[in-house]
Amino acid sequence: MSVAEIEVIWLTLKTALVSTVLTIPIAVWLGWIMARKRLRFKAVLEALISLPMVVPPVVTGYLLLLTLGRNSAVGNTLYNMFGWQFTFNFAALVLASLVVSLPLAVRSIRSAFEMVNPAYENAAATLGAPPLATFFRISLPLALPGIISGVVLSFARSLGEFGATITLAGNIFGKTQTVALMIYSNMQVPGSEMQVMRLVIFSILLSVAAIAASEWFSKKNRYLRK
Amino acid sequence: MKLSLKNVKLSLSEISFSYDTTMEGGIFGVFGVSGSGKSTLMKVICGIERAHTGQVIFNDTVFFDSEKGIHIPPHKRQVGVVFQEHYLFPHLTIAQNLTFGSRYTTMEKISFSDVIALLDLAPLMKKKPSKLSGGERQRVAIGRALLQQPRMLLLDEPFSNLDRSRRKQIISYLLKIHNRFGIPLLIISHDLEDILRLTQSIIIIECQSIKATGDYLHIAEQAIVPHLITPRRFINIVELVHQAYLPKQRINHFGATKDGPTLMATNSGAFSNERQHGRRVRLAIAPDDIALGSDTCRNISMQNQLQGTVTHILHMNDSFYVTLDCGGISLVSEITPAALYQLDVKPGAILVCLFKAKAVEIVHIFENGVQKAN
Repeated sequence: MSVAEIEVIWLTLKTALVSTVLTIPIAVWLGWIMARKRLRFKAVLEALISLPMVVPPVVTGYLLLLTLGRNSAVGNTLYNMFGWQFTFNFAALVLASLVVSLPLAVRSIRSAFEMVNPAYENAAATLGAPPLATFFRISLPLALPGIISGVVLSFARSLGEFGATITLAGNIFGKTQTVALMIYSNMQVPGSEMQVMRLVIFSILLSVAAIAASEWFSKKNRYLRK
Repeated sequence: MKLSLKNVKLSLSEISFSYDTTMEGGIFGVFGVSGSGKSTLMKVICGIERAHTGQVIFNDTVFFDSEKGIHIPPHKRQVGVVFQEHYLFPHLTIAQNLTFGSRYTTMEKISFSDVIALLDLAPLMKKKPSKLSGGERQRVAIGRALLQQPRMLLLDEPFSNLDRSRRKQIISYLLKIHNRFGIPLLIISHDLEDILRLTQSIIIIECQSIKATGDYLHIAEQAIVPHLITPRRFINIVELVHQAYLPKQRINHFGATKDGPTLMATNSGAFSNERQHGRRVRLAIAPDDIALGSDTCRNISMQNQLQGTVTHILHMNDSFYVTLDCGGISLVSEITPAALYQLDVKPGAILVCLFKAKAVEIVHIFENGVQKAN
Protein backbone atom coordinates (compact mmCIF):
# COMPACT_ATOMS: atom_id res chain seq x y z
CA MET A 1 0.00 0.00 0.00
CA SER A 2 1.29 3.45 -0.86
CA VAL A 3 1.65 6.31 1.58
CA ALA A 4 -1.14 8.12 -0.27
CA GLU A 5 -3.49 5.16 0.18
CA ILE A 6 -2.67 4.88 3.89
CA GLU A 7 -3.28 8.59 4.28
CA VAL A 8 -6.68 8.29 2.59
CA ILE A 9 -7.61 5.24 4.68
CA TRP A 10 -6.62 7.12 7.84
CA LEU A 11 -8.74 10.14 6.85
CA THR A 12 -11.69 7.84 6.09
CA LEU A 13 -11.39 6.10 9.48
CA LYS A 14 -10.95 9.42 11.27
CA THR A 15 -14.05 10.86 9.57
CA ALA A 16 -16.17 7.79 10.35
CA LEU A 17 -14.93 7.74 13.94
CA VAL A 18 -15.58 11.43 14.66
CA SER A 19 -18.94 11.29 12.90
CA THR A 20 -19.93 8.17 14.87
CA VAL A 21 -18.89 9.68 18.20
CA LEU A 22 -21.05 12.72 17.42
CA THR A 23 -23.88 10.50 16.19
CA ILE A 24 -24.15 8.48 19.45
CA PRO A 25 -25.70 11.12 21.76
CA ILE A 26 -27.94 12.52 19.01
CA ALA A 27 -29.14 9.09 17.90
CA VAL A 28 -29.67 7.83 21.47
CA TRP A 29 -31.70 10.92 22.29
CA LEU A 30 -33.77 10.76 19.09
CA GLY A 31 -34.17 6.97 19.35
CA TRP A 32 -35.40 7.31 22.93
CA ILE A 33 -37.88 10.04 22.00
CA MET A 34 -39.19 8.05 19.04
CA ALA A 35 -39.55 4.89 21.12
CA ARG A 36 -41.05 6.28 24.30
CA LYS A 37 -42.49 9.77 23.97
CA ARG A 38 -45.92 10.70 22.74
CA LEU A 39 -45.35 13.62 20.38
CA ARG A 40 -47.79 15.51 18.27
CA PHE A 41 -45.56 15.75 15.22
CA LYS A 42 -43.84 12.40 15.63
CA ALA A 43 -44.56 11.37 12.03
CA VAL A 44 -43.01 14.61 10.74
CA LEU A 45 -39.96 14.13 12.94
CA GLU A 46 -39.63 10.55 11.77
CA ALA A 47 -39.85 11.63 8.11
CA LEU A 48 -37.21 14.31 8.69
CA ILE A 49 -34.82 11.86 10.36
CA SER A 50 -35.34 9.19 7.70
CA LEU A 51 -35.13 11.55 4.74
CA PRO A 52 -31.35 11.19 4.15
CA MET A 53 -31.87 7.42 3.96
CA VAL A 54 -34.30 7.61 1.04
CA VAL A 55 -33.26 10.66 -1.00
CA PRO A 56 -30.12 10.32 -3.16
CA PRO A 57 -27.09 11.24 -1.00
CA VAL A 58 -26.19 13.88 -3.62
CA VAL A 59 -29.48 15.61 -2.83
CA THR A 60 -28.67 15.49 0.91
CA GLY A 61 -25.25 16.99 0.16
CA TYR A 62 -26.79 19.63 -2.04
CA LEU A 63 -29.37 20.57 0.64
CA LEU A 64 -26.57 20.81 3.22
CA LEU A 65 -24.60 22.99 0.83
CA LEU A 66 -27.63 25.22 0.34
CA THR A 67 -28.17 25.52 4.10
CA LEU A 68 -24.62 25.75 5.37
CA GLY A 69 -22.64 27.05 2.39
CA ARG A 70 -20.90 30.40 2.71
CA ASN A 71 -23.57 31.98 0.50
CA SER A 72 -26.42 30.87 2.77
CA ALA A 73 -27.70 32.94 5.69
CA VAL A 74 -26.92 30.24 8.26
CA GLY A 75 -23.49 29.45 6.81
CA ASN A 76 -22.59 33.10 6.59
CA THR A 77 -23.68 33.80 10.17
CA LEU A 78 -21.76 30.79 11.53
CA TYR A 79 -18.64 31.93 9.68
CA ASN A 80 -18.90 35.54 10.80
CA MET A 81 -19.68 34.74 14.42
CA PHE A 82 -17.50 31.67 15.13
CA GLY A 83 -15.36 31.28 12.06
CA TRP A 84 -17.02 27.91 11.40
CA GLN A 85 -17.09 26.56 7.89
CA PHE A 86 -18.84 23.41 6.67
CA THR A 87 -17.73 23.19 3.07
CA PHE A 88 -14.68 21.55 1.46
CA ASN A 89 -12.96 20.69 4.74
CA PHE A 90 -12.83 17.99 7.45
CA ALA A 91 -15.94 19.43 9.19
CA ALA A 92 -17.85 19.03 5.91
CA LEU A 93 -16.68 15.41 5.65
CA VAL A 94 -17.90 14.68 9.18
CA LEU A 95 -21.18 16.54 8.70
CA ALA A 96 -22.01 14.70 5.45
CA SER A 97 -21.23 11.36 7.11
CA LEU A 98 -23.23 12.22 10.20
CA VAL A 99 -26.37 13.31 8.36
CA VAL A 100 -26.35 10.30 6.06
CA SER A 101 -25.62 7.70 8.75
CA LEU A 102 -27.83 9.16 11.49
CA PRO A 103 -31.10 7.59 10.25
CA LEU A 104 -29.57 4.12 10.40
CA ALA A 105 -28.39 4.65 13.97
CA VAL A 106 -31.71 6.19 15.08
CA ARG A 107 -33.73 3.33 13.58
CA SER A 108 -31.61 0.69 15.21
CA ILE A 109 -31.47 2.46 18.59
CA ARG A 110 -35.18 3.17 18.50
CA SER A 111 -36.01 -0.50 18.04
CA ALA A 112 -33.50 -1.37 20.79
CA PHE A 113 -35.40 0.89 23.19
CA GLU A 114 -38.73 -0.43 21.96
CA MET A 115 -37.61 -3.94 22.81
CA VAL A 116 -37.05 -2.93 26.43
CA ASN A 117 -40.28 -3.70 28.24
CA PRO A 118 -41.51 -0.39 29.76
CA ALA A 119 -42.56 -2.42 32.80
CA TYR A 120 -38.88 -2.46 33.86
CA GLU A 121 -38.89 1.33 33.80
CA ASN A 122 -42.15 1.39 35.77
CA ALA A 123 -40.65 -1.03 38.29
CA ALA A 124 -37.61 1.26 38.68
CA ALA A 125 -39.92 4.25 39.23
CA THR A 126 -41.85 2.43 41.96
CA LEU A 127 -38.47 1.75 43.61
CA GLY A 128 -37.92 5.49 43.84
CA ALA A 129 -35.69 6.07 40.79
CA PRO A 130 -36.28 9.45 39.08
CA PRO A 131 -36.71 9.38 35.25
CA LEU A 132 -33.07 10.24 34.47
CA ALA A 133 -31.74 7.57 36.85
CA THR A 134 -34.17 5.06 35.36
CA PHE A 135 -32.85 5.92 31.90
CA PHE A 136 -29.19 5.45 32.83
CA ARG A 137 -29.60 2.49 35.20
CA ILE A 138 -32.31 0.52 33.36
CA SER A 139 -33.26 1.59 29.83
CA LEU A 140 -29.76 2.33 28.53
CA PRO A 141 -28.02 -0.83 29.81
CA LEU A 142 -30.92 -3.02 28.66
CA ALA A 143 -30.87 -1.47 25.19
CA LEU A 144 -27.07 -1.34 25.01
CA PRO A 145 -26.44 -4.27 22.62
CA GLY A 146 -28.98 -2.75 20.20
CA ILE A 147 -27.43 0.68 20.59
CA ILE A 148 -23.93 -0.66 19.88
CA SER A 149 -25.27 -2.53 16.87
CA GLY A 150 -26.80 0.70 15.54
CA VAL A 151 -23.61 2.62 16.18
CA VAL A 152 -21.48 0.03 14.35
CA LEU A 153 -23.90 0.11 11.43
CA SER A 154 -23.72 3.87 11.23
CA PHE A 155 -19.91 3.67 11.40
CA ALA A 156 -19.97 1.27 8.44
CA ARG A 157 -22.26 3.60 6.53
CA SER A 158 -19.90 6.52 7.19
CA LEU A 159 -16.95 4.57 5.77
CA GLY A 160 -18.71 4.21 2.42
CA GLU A 161 -20.28 7.66 2.21
CA PHE A 162 -19.87 9.15 -1.27
CA GLY A 163 -22.66 11.30 -2.69
CA ALA A 164 -23.20 13.80 0.09
CA THR A 165 -19.46 13.95 0.77
CA ILE A 166 -18.43 14.80 -2.78
CA THR A 167 -21.14 17.48 -2.95
CA LEU A 168 -20.44 19.14 0.40
CA ALA A 169 -16.73 18.43 0.96
CA GLY A 170 -15.47 17.92 -2.56
CA ASN A 171 -12.78 15.43 -3.60
CA ILE A 172 -9.52 17.13 -2.58
CA PHE A 173 -6.62 14.74 -2.09
CA GLY A 174 -5.02 15.14 1.34
CA LYS A 175 -7.96 17.17 2.59
CA THR A 176 -11.31 15.61 1.81
CA GLN A 177 -10.58 12.55 -0.30
CA THR A 178 -11.84 9.38 1.40
CA VAL A 179 -11.50 5.75 0.27
CA ALA A 180 -14.76 5.80 -1.72
CA LEU A 181 -13.74 9.03 -3.47
CA MET A 182 -10.23 7.72 -4.19
CA ILE A 183 -11.67 4.56 -5.75
CA TYR A 184 -13.97 6.70 -7.90
CA SER A 185 -11.13 9.01 -9.00
CA ASN A 186 -8.61 6.23 -9.72
CA MET A 187 -11.11 4.14 -11.66
CA GLN A 188 -10.80 6.73 -14.37
CA VAL A 189 -6.99 6.66 -14.36
CA PRO A 190 -5.45 3.94 -16.59
CA GLY A 191 -2.95 1.69 -14.77
CA SER A 192 -4.51 2.20 -11.31
CA GLU A 193 -6.45 -1.09 -11.35
CA MET A 194 -4.34 -2.69 -8.60
CA GLN A 195 -4.68 0.32 -6.33
CA VAL A 196 -8.44 0.39 -6.88
CA MET A 197 -8.65 -3.34 -6.14
CA ARG A 198 -6.66 -2.95 -2.89
CA LEU A 199 -9.00 -0.18 -1.71
CA VAL A 200 -12.07 -2.16 -2.80
CA ILE A 201 -10.91 -5.21 -0.81
CA PHE A 202 -10.13 -2.99 2.19
CA SER A 203 -13.62 -1.44 2.01
CA ILE A 204 -15.35 -4.80 1.72
CA LEU A 205 -13.41 -6.32 4.63
CA LEU A 206 -14.10 -3.38 6.90
CA SER A 207 -17.81 -3.30 6.03
CA VAL A 208 -18.23 -7.05 6.48
CA ALA A 209 -16.53 -6.84 9.88
CA ALA A 210 -18.76 -3.94 10.90
CA ILE A 211 -21.95 -5.72 9.82
CA ALA A 212 -20.88 -8.92 11.58
CA ALA A 213 -20.24 -6.95 14.76
CA SER A 214 -23.60 -5.23 14.44
CA GLU A 215 -25.38 -8.58 14.00
CA TRP A 216 -23.57 -10.05 16.99
CA PHE A 217 -24.64 -7.18 19.23
CA SER A 218 -28.23 -7.20 18.02
CA LYS A 219 -28.46 -10.95 18.72
CA LYS A 220 -27.23 -10.27 22.24
CA ASN A 221 -30.27 -8.06 22.72
CA ARG A 222 -32.70 -10.93 22.32
CA TYR A 223 -32.63 -12.08 25.93
CA LEU A 224 -34.55 -8.93 26.79
CA ARG A 225 -37.67 -10.20 25.11
CA LYS A 226 -38.12 -12.78 27.87
CA MET B 1 -53.49 2.86 56.83
CA LYS B 2 -56.25 4.78 55.21
CA LEU B 3 -56.39 4.81 51.44
CA SER B 4 -59.20 6.55 49.67
CA LEU B 5 -60.02 6.80 46.01
CA LYS B 6 -62.71 9.35 45.38
CA ASN B 7 -64.53 9.30 42.08
CA VAL B 8 -61.38 8.18 40.25
CA LYS B 9 -62.02 7.78 36.53
CA LEU B 10 -59.75 6.96 33.63
CA SER B 11 -59.92 5.21 30.29
CA LEU B 12 -57.29 3.04 28.66
CA SER B 13 -57.61 1.63 25.14
CA GLU B 14 -61.26 2.77 25.08
CA ILE B 15 -62.08 0.90 28.33
CA SER B 16 -63.38 3.11 31.14
CA PHE B 17 -62.39 2.44 34.73
CA SER B 18 -63.97 4.00 37.80
CA TYR B 19 -62.90 3.53 41.39
CA ASP B 20 -64.53 4.90 44.49
CA THR B 21 -63.72 3.44 47.89
CA THR B 22 -62.02 3.93 51.23
CA MET B 23 -59.87 1.22 52.77
CA GLU B 24 -58.90 1.30 56.41
CA GLY B 25 -56.84 -1.42 58.01
CA GLY B 26 -53.59 -3.33 57.81
CA ILE B 27 -54.16 -5.84 55.03
CA PHE B 28 -56.60 -5.49 52.15
CA GLY B 29 -57.39 -8.01 49.45
CA VAL B 30 -58.59 -6.93 46.01
CA PHE B 31 -60.64 -9.64 44.37
CA GLY B 32 -62.06 -9.85 40.86
CA VAL B 33 -61.93 -12.04 37.79
CA SER B 34 -59.29 -11.53 35.09
CA GLY B 35 -59.73 -8.29 33.18
CA SER B 36 -61.97 -6.72 35.81
CA GLY B 37 -59.61 -3.81 36.45
CA LYS B 38 -57.60 -4.98 39.46
CA SER B 39 -54.17 -4.26 38.03
CA THR B 40 -55.24 -0.84 36.75
CA LEU B 41 -56.36 0.00 40.29
CA MET B 42 -52.88 -0.93 41.48
CA LYS B 43 -51.28 1.23 38.78
CA VAL B 44 -53.45 4.20 39.75
CA ILE B 45 -52.45 3.83 43.42
CA CYS B 46 -48.71 3.59 42.70
CA GLY B 47 -48.88 6.33 40.05
CA ILE B 48 -47.88 4.41 36.92
CA GLU B 49 -51.27 5.27 35.43
CA ARG B 50 -52.67 8.72 35.83
CA ALA B 51 -56.42 9.05 36.35
CA HIS B 52 -58.40 11.64 34.38
CA THR B 53 -60.49 12.79 37.32
CA GLY B 54 -60.83 12.19 41.04
CA GLN B 55 -58.62 11.98 44.10
CA VAL B 56 -56.23 9.38 45.52
CA ILE B 57 -55.29 10.03 49.14
CA PHE B 58 -53.03 7.85 51.28
CA ASN B 59 -53.20 8.65 54.99
CA ASP B 60 -52.61 12.43 54.89
CA THR B 61 -50.80 12.55 51.54
CA VAL B 62 -52.65 13.55 48.39
CA PHE B 63 -51.21 11.33 45.65
CA PHE B 64 -53.54 12.65 43.00
CA ASP B 65 -56.14 15.39 42.76
CA SER B 66 -57.39 16.29 39.29
CA GLU B 67 -59.02 19.54 40.42
CA LYS B 68 -55.94 20.85 42.17
CA GLY B 69 -53.67 19.51 39.43
CA ILE B 70 -51.72 17.31 41.86
CA HIS B 71 -50.03 14.17 40.54
CA ILE B 72 -47.17 12.83 42.61
CA PRO B 73 -45.05 10.73 40.22
CA PRO B 74 -44.50 7.06 41.15
CA HIS B 75 -40.88 7.57 42.23
CA LYS B 76 -41.98 10.03 44.92
CA ARG B 77 -44.89 8.01 46.33
CA GLN B 78 -42.93 5.43 48.32
CA VAL B 79 -45.43 2.75 47.40
CA GLY B 80 -43.71 -0.60 46.96
CA VAL B 81 -45.01 -2.78 44.15
CA VAL B 82 -44.51 -6.50 43.58
CA PHE B 83 -45.58 -7.09 40.00
CA GLN B 84 -47.10 -10.34 38.82
CA GLU B 85 -44.19 -10.81 36.41
CA HIS B 86 -41.77 -9.51 39.07
CA TYR B 87 -39.70 -7.50 36.57
CA LEU B 88 -36.38 -8.17 38.24
CA PHE B 89 -33.77 -6.26 36.24
CA PRO B 90 -32.14 -8.91 34.02
CA HIS B 91 -28.77 -7.15 33.74
CA LEU B 92 -28.28 -6.91 37.51
CA THR B 93 -27.50 -9.57 40.11
CA ILE B 94 -29.98 -10.34 42.88
CA ALA B 95 -27.93 -8.27 45.34
CA GLN B 96 -27.98 -5.31 42.92
CA ASN B 97 -31.70 -5.77 42.33
CA LEU B 98 -32.35 -5.77 46.07
CA THR B 99 -30.40 -2.58 46.71
CA PHE B 100 -31.66 -0.76 43.60
CA GLY B 101 -34.04 1.48 45.52
CA SER B 102 -31.93 1.98 48.67
CA ARG B 103 -30.12 5.04 47.32
CA TYR B 104 -33.40 6.92 46.86
CA THR B 105 -34.45 6.72 50.48
CA THR B 106 -32.93 8.07 53.66
CA MET B 107 -34.98 5.93 56.03
CA GLU B 108 -33.59 2.71 57.46
CA LYS B 109 -36.61 1.24 59.15
CA ILE B 110 -36.18 -2.02 57.27
CA SER B 111 -32.58 -3.26 57.24
CA PHE B 112 -30.92 -5.23 54.46
CA SER B 113 -29.93 -8.06 56.79
CA ASP B 114 -33.48 -8.33 58.17
CA VAL B 115 -34.96 -8.69 54.70
CA ILE B 116 -32.34 -11.23 53.62
CA ALA B 117 -32.99 -13.31 56.72
CA LEU B 118 -36.76 -12.98 56.59
CA LEU B 119 -37.08 -14.02 52.96
CA ASP B 120 -34.17 -16.51 52.94
CA LEU B 121 -32.37 -14.67 50.16
CA ALA B 122 -28.75 -15.21 51.25
CA PRO B 123 -27.96 -18.08 48.80
CA LEU B 124 -29.27 -16.10 45.81
CA MET B 125 -27.25 -12.90 46.09
CA LYS B 126 -24.73 -13.43 43.29
CA LYS B 127 -27.14 -15.02 40.83
CA LYS B 128 -28.84 -13.36 37.87
CA PRO B 129 -32.68 -13.31 37.81
CA SER B 130 -32.81 -15.74 34.87
CA LYS B 131 -31.29 -18.47 37.06
CA LEU B 132 -34.03 -18.26 39.70
CA SER B 133 -37.23 -20.28 40.11
CA GLY B 134 -40.64 -18.58 40.17
CA GLY B 135 -40.87 -18.71 43.95
CA GLU B 136 -37.35 -17.32 44.37
CA ARG B 137 -38.05 -14.46 41.96
CA GLN B 138 -41.19 -13.68 43.93
CA ARG B 139 -39.22 -13.44 47.17
CA VAL B 140 -36.56 -11.23 45.58
CA ALA B 141 -39.27 -8.94 44.18
CA ILE B 142 -40.81 -8.65 47.64
CA GLY B 143 -37.40 -7.99 49.21
CA ARG B 144 -36.55 -5.37 46.59
CA ALA B 145 -39.83 -3.54 47.21
CA LEU B 146 -39.30 -3.67 50.98
CA LEU B 147 -35.78 -2.25 50.84
CA GLN B 148 -36.99 1.02 49.37
CA GLN B 149 -38.77 1.48 52.73
CA PRO B 150 -42.32 1.66 51.36
CA ARG B 151 -45.23 3.21 53.18
CA MET B 152 -47.46 0.55 51.66
CA LEU B 153 -46.82 -2.62 49.67
CA LEU B 154 -48.95 -3.58 46.64
CA LEU B 155 -48.79 -7.16 45.40
CA ASP B 156 -50.27 -8.09 42.04
CA GLU B 157 -51.33 -11.75 41.86
CA PRO B 158 -48.63 -12.99 44.26
CA PHE B 159 -50.02 -16.53 44.21
CA SER B 160 -50.26 -17.12 40.49
CA ASN B 161 -47.86 -19.65 38.97
CA LEU B 162 -47.09 -21.07 42.42
CA ASP B 163 -47.97 -24.53 43.66
CA ARG B 164 -49.91 -25.13 46.88
CA SER B 165 -46.88 -25.35 49.18
CA ARG B 166 -45.25 -22.23 47.67
CA ARG B 167 -48.52 -20.34 48.13
CA LYS B 168 -48.61 -21.27 51.80
CA GLN B 169 -45.01 -20.12 52.09
CA ILE B 170 -45.73 -16.73 50.46
CA ILE B 171 -48.78 -16.20 52.71
CA SER B 172 -46.58 -16.87 55.70
CA TYR B 173 -43.89 -14.45 54.43
CA LEU B 174 -46.47 -11.71 53.85
CA LEU B 175 -47.90 -12.07 57.34
CA LYS B 176 -44.35 -11.96 58.76
CA ILE B 177 -43.61 -8.77 56.81
CA HIS B 178 -46.82 -7.14 57.94
CA ASN B 179 -46.21 -7.96 61.56
CA ARG B 180 -42.46 -7.34 61.69
CA PHE B 181 -42.37 -4.04 59.81
CA GLY B 182 -45.94 -2.81 60.23
CA ILE B 183 -46.33 -2.17 56.49
CA PRO B 184 -49.89 -2.11 55.15
CA LEU B 185 -50.44 -4.62 52.36
CA LEU B 186 -52.79 -4.49 49.40
CA ILE B 187 -53.02 -7.88 47.74
CA ILE B 188 -54.57 -8.28 44.32
CA SER B 189 -55.69 -11.77 43.42
CA HIS B 190 -58.32 -13.74 41.58
CA ASP B 191 -57.91 -16.46 44.19
CA LEU B 192 -60.27 -15.68 47.03
CA GLU B 193 -59.17 -18.51 49.31
CA ASP B 194 -55.61 -17.23 49.40
CA ILE B 195 -56.76 -13.65 50.02
CA LEU B 196 -58.91 -14.86 52.92
CA ARG B 197 -55.95 -16.64 54.51
CA LEU B 198 -54.36 -13.19 54.72
CA THR B 199 -57.30 -10.94 55.40
CA GLN B 200 -61.06 -10.74 55.54
CA SER B 201 -61.07 -7.08 54.51
CA ILE B 202 -61.66 -7.16 50.80
CA ILE B 203 -62.55 -5.06 47.78
CA ILE B 204 -64.61 -6.60 45.02
CA ILE B 205 -63.96 -5.35 41.50
CA GLU B 206 -66.12 -6.18 38.55
CA CYS B 207 -66.48 -4.57 35.11
CA GLN B 208 -63.75 -2.02 35.83
CA SER B 209 -65.37 -0.61 38.95
CA ILE B 210 -65.49 -1.33 42.68
CA LYS B 211 -68.65 -3.17 43.70
CA ALA B 212 -68.03 -3.64 47.40
CA THR B 213 -65.52 -2.89 50.16
CA GLY B 214 -65.46 -4.37 53.63
CA ASP B 215 -65.57 -7.58 55.61
CA TYR B 216 -65.89 -10.66 53.42
CA LEU B 217 -68.60 -12.32 55.45
CA HIS B 218 -70.62 -9.14 55.63
CA ILE B 219 -70.42 -8.75 51.82
CA ALA B 220 -71.46 -12.38 51.42
CA GLU B 221 -74.30 -12.15 53.94
CA GLN B 222 -75.64 -8.95 52.43
CA ALA B 223 -75.53 -10.63 49.00
CA ILE B 224 -74.04 -7.46 47.44
CA VAL B 225 -72.36 -9.38 44.61
CA PRO B 226 -73.92 -12.85 45.04
CA HIS B 227 -72.60 -14.20 41.75
CA LEU B 228 -69.02 -13.48 42.85
CA ILE B 229 -69.02 -13.74 46.60
CA THR B 230 -70.76 -16.61 48.30
CA PRO B 231 -70.00 -18.27 51.61
CA ARG B 232 -69.21 -21.35 49.53
CA ARG B 233 -65.82 -19.83 48.85
CA PHE B 234 -65.41 -18.74 52.41
CA ILE B 235 -62.84 -20.08 54.81
CA ASN B 236 -62.97 -19.56 58.57
CA ILE B 237 -59.90 -17.74 59.83
CA VAL B 238 -59.21 -17.75 63.56
CA GLU B 239 -56.29 -16.18 65.41
CA LEU B 240 -55.50 -17.89 68.70
CA VAL B 241 -52.58 -18.46 71.06
CA HIS B 242 -50.79 -21.82 71.23
CA GLN B 243 -51.40 -23.23 74.67
CA ALA B 244 -50.01 -26.75 74.76
CA TYR B 245 -48.62 -29.61 72.77
CA LEU B 246 -49.50 -33.13 73.87
CA PRO B 247 -46.75 -35.32 72.41
CA LYS B 248 -48.50 -38.63 73.09
CA GLN B 249 -51.66 -37.61 71.28
CA ARG B 250 -49.66 -35.48 68.83
CA ILE B 251 -52.12 -32.68 69.22
CA ASN B 252 -51.94 -28.93 69.87
CA HIS B 253 -54.28 -26.84 71.96
CA PHE B 254 -55.07 -23.27 70.94
CA GLY B 255 -57.21 -20.72 72.73
CA ALA B 256 -57.97 -17.03 72.97
CA THR B 257 -57.88 -16.98 76.76
CA LYS B 258 -57.11 -19.53 79.49
CA ASP B 259 -60.75 -20.06 80.39
CA GLY B 260 -62.12 -19.69 76.89
CA PRO B 261 -62.80 -22.42 74.36
CA THR B 262 -59.93 -24.55 73.16
CA LEU B 263 -59.36 -25.56 69.58
CA MET B 264 -57.31 -28.62 68.70
CA ALA B 265 -55.15 -29.20 65.67
CA THR B 266 -52.82 -32.00 64.71
CA ASN B 267 -49.13 -31.36 64.98
CA SER B 268 -47.57 -30.14 61.82
CA GLY B 269 -44.15 -30.42 63.42
CA ALA B 270 -44.17 -26.71 64.11
CA PHE B 271 -44.88 -26.94 67.82
CA SER B 272 -42.71 -29.79 69.02
CA ASN B 273 -40.26 -27.18 70.26
CA GLU B 274 -41.35 -25.74 73.59
CA ARG B 275 -40.14 -22.28 72.63
CA GLN B 276 -43.04 -22.09 70.22
CA HIS B 277 -45.57 -22.18 73.05
CA GLY B 278 -47.47 -19.00 73.68
CA ARG B 279 -47.24 -17.84 70.09
CA ARG B 280 -50.12 -16.30 68.20
CA VAL B 281 -51.31 -18.53 65.38
CA ARG B 282 -53.58 -18.06 62.40
CA LEU B 283 -55.76 -21.09 61.71
CA ALA B 284 -58.09 -21.90 58.81
CA ILE B 285 -61.13 -24.21 58.82
CA ALA B 286 -63.39 -24.79 55.81
CA PRO B 287 -67.14 -24.26 56.57
CA ASP B 288 -68.06 -27.67 55.12
CA ASP B 289 -65.66 -29.35 57.56
CA ILE B 290 -67.74 -28.08 60.49
CA ALA B 291 -70.76 -30.19 61.49
CA LEU B 292 -73.40 -28.97 63.91
CA GLY B 293 -74.89 -30.93 66.79
CA SER B 294 -77.40 -30.23 69.52
CA ASP B 295 -75.01 -31.50 72.17
CA THR B 296 -71.43 -32.62 72.67
CA CYS B 297 -70.64 -36.17 71.71
CA ARG B 298 -68.34 -38.45 73.73
CA ASN B 299 -67.88 -41.42 71.49
CA ILE B 300 -66.78 -39.71 68.35
CA SER B 301 -63.43 -39.14 66.68
CA MET B 302 -63.99 -35.38 66.26
CA GLN B 303 -61.66 -33.67 68.72
CA ASN B 304 -63.12 -30.19 68.41
CA GLN B 305 -66.49 -29.67 70.01
CA LEU B 306 -67.17 -25.97 70.57
CA GLN B 307 -70.45 -24.74 71.94
CA GLY B 308 -71.78 -21.55 70.40
CA THR B 309 -74.79 -19.33 69.78
CA VAL B 310 -76.21 -18.96 66.29
CA THR B 311 -75.91 -15.33 65.21
CA HIS B 312 -76.76 -15.45 61.51
CA ILE B 313 -78.14 -17.86 58.94
CA LEU B 314 -77.68 -17.39 55.21
CA HIS B 315 -79.43 -19.50 52.63
CA MET B 316 -77.65 -19.82 49.34
CA ASN B 317 -78.16 -22.35 46.59
CA ASP B 318 -78.62 -25.72 48.29
CA SER B 319 -76.83 -24.86 51.52
CA PHE B 320 -77.29 -22.93 54.71
CA TYR B 321 -74.37 -21.02 56.16
CA VAL B 322 -74.73 -20.72 59.91
CA THR B 323 -72.56 -18.26 61.81
CA LEU B 324 -71.95 -19.12 65.46
CA ASP B 325 -70.23 -17.24 68.25
CA CYS B 326 -68.30 -19.85 70.19
CA GLY B 327 -67.13 -17.86 73.20
CA GLY B 328 -65.42 -15.19 71.15
CA ILE B 329 -64.45 -17.43 68.24
CA SER B 330 -66.70 -16.81 65.24
CA LEU B 331 -67.23 -19.83 63.00
CA VAL B 332 -69.33 -20.44 59.88
CA SER B 333 -70.67 -23.93 59.24
CA GLU B 334 -72.17 -25.14 55.98
CA ILE B 335 -75.11 -27.49 56.45
CA THR B 336 -77.86 -28.96 54.29
CA PRO B 337 -81.52 -27.82 54.52
CA ALA B 338 -82.34 -31.26 55.98
CA ALA B 339 -79.86 -30.71 58.84
CA LEU B 340 -81.23 -27.21 59.42
CA TYR B 341 -84.77 -28.51 59.90
CA GLN B 342 -83.67 -31.54 61.91
CA LEU B 343 -81.75 -29.39 64.40
CA ASP B 344 -84.24 -26.51 64.21
CA VAL B 345 -81.43 -24.00 63.72
CA LYS B 346 -82.54 -20.43 64.50
CA PRO B 347 -80.68 -17.28 65.53
CA GLY B 348 -80.08 -17.51 69.27
CA ALA B 349 -80.06 -21.31 69.30
CA ILE B 350 -77.22 -22.97 71.20
CA LEU B 351 -75.44 -25.63 69.19
CA VAL B 352 -72.09 -27.42 69.11
CA CYS B 353 -69.61 -27.08 66.25
CA LEU B 354 -67.92 -30.41 65.58
CA PHE B 355 -64.82 -30.77 63.46
CA LYS B 356 -61.72 -32.91 63.24
CA ALA B 357 -58.35 -31.73 64.49
CA LYS B 358 -57.13 -32.61 61.00
CA ALA B 359 -59.55 -30.08 59.47
CA VAL B 360 -57.65 -27.22 61.14
CA GLU B 361 -54.93 -25.79 58.92
CA ILE B 362 -52.10 -23.81 60.51
CA VAL B 363 -51.72 -20.84 58.15
CA HIS B 364 -49.07 -18.89 60.04
CA ILE B 365 -47.26 -18.80 63.37
CA PHE B 366 -46.59 -15.22 64.40
CA GLU B 367 -43.36 -14.24 66.06
CA ASN B 368 -43.36 -13.20 69.69
CA GLY B 369 -43.14 -9.56 70.62
CA VAL B 370 -43.72 -8.24 67.11
CA GLN B 371 -44.86 -4.77 66.31
CA LYS B 372 -48.58 -4.47 65.73
CA ALA B 373 -49.38 -3.25 62.24
CA ASN B 374 -51.22 -0.01 61.74
